[in-house]
Amino acid sequence: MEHLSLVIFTVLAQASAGLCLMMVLMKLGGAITSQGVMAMGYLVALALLGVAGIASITHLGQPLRVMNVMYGLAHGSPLSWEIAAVTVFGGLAFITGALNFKGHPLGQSIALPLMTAVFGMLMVYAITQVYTLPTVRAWNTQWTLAQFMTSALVLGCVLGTTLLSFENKSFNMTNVMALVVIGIILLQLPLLTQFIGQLEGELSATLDSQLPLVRLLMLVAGCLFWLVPMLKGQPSVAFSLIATVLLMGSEMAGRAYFYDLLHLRLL
Amino acid sequence: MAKQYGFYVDTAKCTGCNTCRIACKDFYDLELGVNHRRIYEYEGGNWVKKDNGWHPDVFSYYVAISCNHCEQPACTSACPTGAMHKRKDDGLIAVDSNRCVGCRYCEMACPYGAPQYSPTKKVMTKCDGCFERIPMGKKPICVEACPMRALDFDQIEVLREKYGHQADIAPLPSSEMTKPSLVIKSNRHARPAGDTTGNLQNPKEV
Repeated sequence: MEHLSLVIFTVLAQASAGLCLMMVLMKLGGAITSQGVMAMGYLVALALLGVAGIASITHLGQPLRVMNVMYGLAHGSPLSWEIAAVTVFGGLAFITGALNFKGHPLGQSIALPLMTAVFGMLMVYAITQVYTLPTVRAWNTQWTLAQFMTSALVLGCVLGTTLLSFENKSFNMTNVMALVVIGIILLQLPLLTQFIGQLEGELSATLDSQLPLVRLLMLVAGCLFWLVPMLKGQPSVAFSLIATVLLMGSEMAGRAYFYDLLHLRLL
Repeated sequence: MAKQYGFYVDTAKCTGCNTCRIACKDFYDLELGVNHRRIYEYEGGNWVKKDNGWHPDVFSYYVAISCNHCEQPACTSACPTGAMHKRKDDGLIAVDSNRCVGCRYCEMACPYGAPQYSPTKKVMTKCDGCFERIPMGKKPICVEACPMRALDFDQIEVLREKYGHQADIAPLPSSEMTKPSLVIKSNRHARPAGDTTGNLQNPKEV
């Protein structure tokens, strides 16, 4: 658990990016029409990103010197780019949210939410680049990208559902959202087992961890809470919130396992 | 022409006594858990059939590694603040402890485990090749302390002329990764980099 601050940072930052992606999709799809709802969504995204940012700074030995990371952009340090991406994404989310909060006509445009979503995904990609290191065998694969993107999409979807449930709206079974949920359950189970399985023999044997099991249990439970309102065709704030908490927990458990794999290194 | 200093490690002479590690810790007052030089104990074995009998073919040797002051360092590319830098005068890699934020990314990026976080200083620390001793005509502390005279330190071209070009030995990763300024002399049991027939016997020490 020594990397708990980084677990929180990566999971919440990815959740924030996923939510911003979902919001632009829901706006394009006509599920969100009110600027008030958009403002609330971006507020949640910013809150998640803010907590993520604070968590990442607590990981540093010298948090007061955090601005020094801008120097690394000159020689292309992946970590500097990641922090720059977080900042740009955060700025865009703030502007988009602020414009919608004030009911400003510019807030109705799709351009800002779209840019925010794009930069959100670029930020997730930047985080992936930080962790795909040749020296950490378990991280140096495309599974890292797959896991980070999946976190963003899963959490974005469930947060989007929760947002809509506050407006007493939901998705029903004929809608693509339910298919997405089922797809996620069906995808995550083999994704996880494949990932663990492809770790070289000694890696998976020496890491004795309950985290993958905890992750799967919370994933299944969270998806069930998520599906029930959809099956009934009745949005439920309570069920959606519980689903959000469970799925966040599931992603955090998975991420903690990911960080534990750092101990299994080249040398 | 910029100079590049590096280390020579004679694994045929190294007895794993750890004097080099302790001399460095003592001289620089390093805390518990921080070791700028680490001694990797690599062991393995097999059974070999000769005529009607089976004979053990076991091996065990030590590789003492500090920082290899690589030509393509992973740590300096990773560092988000530029604190981890390659010195122009001697090619040695050092940390600017006033700039370092202690993010530990260099620690993740280095294939040799050289950068280490100091919980008391709250920044990264690392072997710096004792660069302050070079103008005094002295060698690094570890080199001078080694009772077997298994270590050497000089400009890498000088070392390569004297001792050869080998920079790979198990359990070290391939030298192609970061081009370490390192020359290794093999012992009679030496296995190549990337070998999986043996295991690191002291993972908690390193």
